[in-house]
Amino acid sequence: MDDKIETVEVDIRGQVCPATLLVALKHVNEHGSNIRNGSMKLVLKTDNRDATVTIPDSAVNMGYSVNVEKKDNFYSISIGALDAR
Amino acid sequence: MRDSNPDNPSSDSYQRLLAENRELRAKYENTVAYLRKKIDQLLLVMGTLPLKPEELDDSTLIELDPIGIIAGSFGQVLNHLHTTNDSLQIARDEIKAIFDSAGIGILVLDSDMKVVSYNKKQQDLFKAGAEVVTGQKCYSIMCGADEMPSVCTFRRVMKQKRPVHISNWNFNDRLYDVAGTPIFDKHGDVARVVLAYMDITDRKRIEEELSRVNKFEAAGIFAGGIAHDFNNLLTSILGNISLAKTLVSPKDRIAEKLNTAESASLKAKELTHKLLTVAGVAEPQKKNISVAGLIKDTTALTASFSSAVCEYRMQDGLWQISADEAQLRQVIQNIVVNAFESVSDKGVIRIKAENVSVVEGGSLPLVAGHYVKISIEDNGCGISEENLPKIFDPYFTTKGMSSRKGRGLGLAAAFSIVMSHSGFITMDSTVGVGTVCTVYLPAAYKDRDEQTKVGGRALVMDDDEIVREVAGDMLALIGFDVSFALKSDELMKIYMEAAASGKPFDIVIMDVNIPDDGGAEKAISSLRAFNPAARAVVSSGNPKDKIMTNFEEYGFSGALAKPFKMSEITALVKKLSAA
Ligand SMILES: Nc1ncnc2c1ncn2[C@@H]1O[C@H](COP(=O)(O)OP(=O)(O)OP(=O)(O)O)[C@@H](O)[C@H]1O
Ligand SMILES: [Mg+2]
Repeated sequence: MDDKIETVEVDIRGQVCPATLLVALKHVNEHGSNIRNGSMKLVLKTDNRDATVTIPDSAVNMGYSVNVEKKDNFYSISIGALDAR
Repeated sequence: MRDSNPDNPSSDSYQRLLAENRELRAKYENTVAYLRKKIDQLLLVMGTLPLKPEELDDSTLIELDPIGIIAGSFGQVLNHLHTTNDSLQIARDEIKAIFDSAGIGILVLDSDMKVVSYNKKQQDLFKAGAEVVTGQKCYSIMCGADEMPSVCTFRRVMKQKRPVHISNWNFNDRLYDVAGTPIFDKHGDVARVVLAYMDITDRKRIEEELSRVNKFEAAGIFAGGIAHDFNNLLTSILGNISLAKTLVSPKDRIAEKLNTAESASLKAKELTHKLLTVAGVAEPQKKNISVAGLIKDTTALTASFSSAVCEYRMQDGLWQISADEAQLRQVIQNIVVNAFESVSDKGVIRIKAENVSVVEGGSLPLVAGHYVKISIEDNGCGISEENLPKIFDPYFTTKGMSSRKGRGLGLAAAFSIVMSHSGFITMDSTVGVGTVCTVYLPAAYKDRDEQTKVGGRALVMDDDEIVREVAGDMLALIGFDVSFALKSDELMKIYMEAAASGKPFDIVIMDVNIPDDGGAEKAISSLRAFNPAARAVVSSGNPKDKIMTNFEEYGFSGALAKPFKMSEITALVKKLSAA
């Protein structure tokens, strides 16, 4: 099942986007229906430490499942559907 | 003249444009500030941190369309809240349904021990007449106390701050398993305590019954083994005593000693008989029986020896039961005798029989189906709580070992018989008030009357009472319904009556010598004349008797030497029924 899920990676590291949260939300909104129906997973790369709190908070409130991982020089925040029932 | 050239910084138009520009810039800044403020508010409402101005310059802010983004996200937040609310509502309904249909009592208390909620089953545990229970202290509506009792599940949960389990909590004469679980608030304090009460009274009782059944199986194997041999030995002893008695004059002192030996052996035989029943050796010979009549005539004899009164309440249309008549009589007899022994002169024994239907999953250890429930109630001395679990044990008695009374086998035999009939027997008692013994026996199926006959009917002719009794007992043990005759004309009368009533005898056993009578020789010729196919066996203490050695010539199908041996009588009877 897992391999059927498309993963879309977006790099929103500092220099490009000044307001990480808004940019992240923009991407989430854009792919919302695909993430929700479980066909897609959105992975955001960020180096903004605050964003590892604000993005998951918002995404959880919006009804997604979120997983944050610390990589070498960035954070990877993956956003997916709530546990498929 | 005024200069209107806008390129001239001192011109009026230039100045006006400057002012307009300033005004516009201020408006723009206000708008951006306003936007930032509102965006931050929205972000806070969404539950996240506000934006930092240094992260986002004003022009990028406008370009990014933050309101559009947040509005989009907000729509999703609301949607998500709706679904969450819906599933919460379902979960709440689910919990409520589980709560109310649970077979256990559930009580929710706050940290002050006040009732927050409870389910239907829990109401049984509240004090009778307790009203508007919510908000009341648990100890007042349940224990009827003014303060928290020293042994209290709630107290323990509050103290230990973790789930607590209490087994065998005795409350209002019933036993409960109690589970107490704390629910914590976000500060980690106990906000609620959920108490679950599971009534285990019936389960405990069934467990006790089961352990008793196991004990019986062990005791039965043991008792059965020795009782059988013992019975054979006693038969031989009794037979020889009766033979010896014929050799001395009744006035002789030896005869007196023989009589004493005989009556002691008889008592021993009675005891073995009970043992055999306890051991389940005597397989029930089942037929359809109407209990009402059987109870009355079994009880009547016992009642006639007592000044206590016996009352009957038999349901009309009582079902028949499928049971061994002799064994059933023994059950009733043993229980009724105990009842009479327990009461004083003003005793009243109430015997009731009624139809009951046992359903699946009830509290009785019985298979679902139709039963006849017999209860025998007395207002006698009662049985102490300590003794109650032991009364069905073989040899348990409180009646002392002197005299005939009190060998402690009465109820053990009753228990064993009822079990072998797939029934159930139980006793309830209160010291000083009385005792009720309740017996359940499976009702017979209406359409089933043909049972495979193992034994049959036997007629024994002997002038010696003990021989009659011994032969009767032995035949009964292998499944015969036995009748007796003292002389040959009596034998013929009984035999012919039985044939006429459609219940002929399958076998006749007769003594060679009957004083003042033709004995076996006379009896066999009358019997053959009436029924040439009659099956008869001759018996004698003298194996060399001419009829014994030439029994076939005289018309007998077999010969049986006295004293009877169980093995011989069984072998002969088997051979004859196979023929
Ligand atoms: N109706 C009753 N009222 C009071 N006690 C009883 C009653 N029935 C039985 N018991 C108690 O149970 C014990 C066991 O009864 P059980 O019939 O097995 O033996 P028993 O009566 O002592 O002896 P046995 O039946 O051999 O004469 C009795 O000794 C008595 O203490
Ligand atoms: Mg008794």
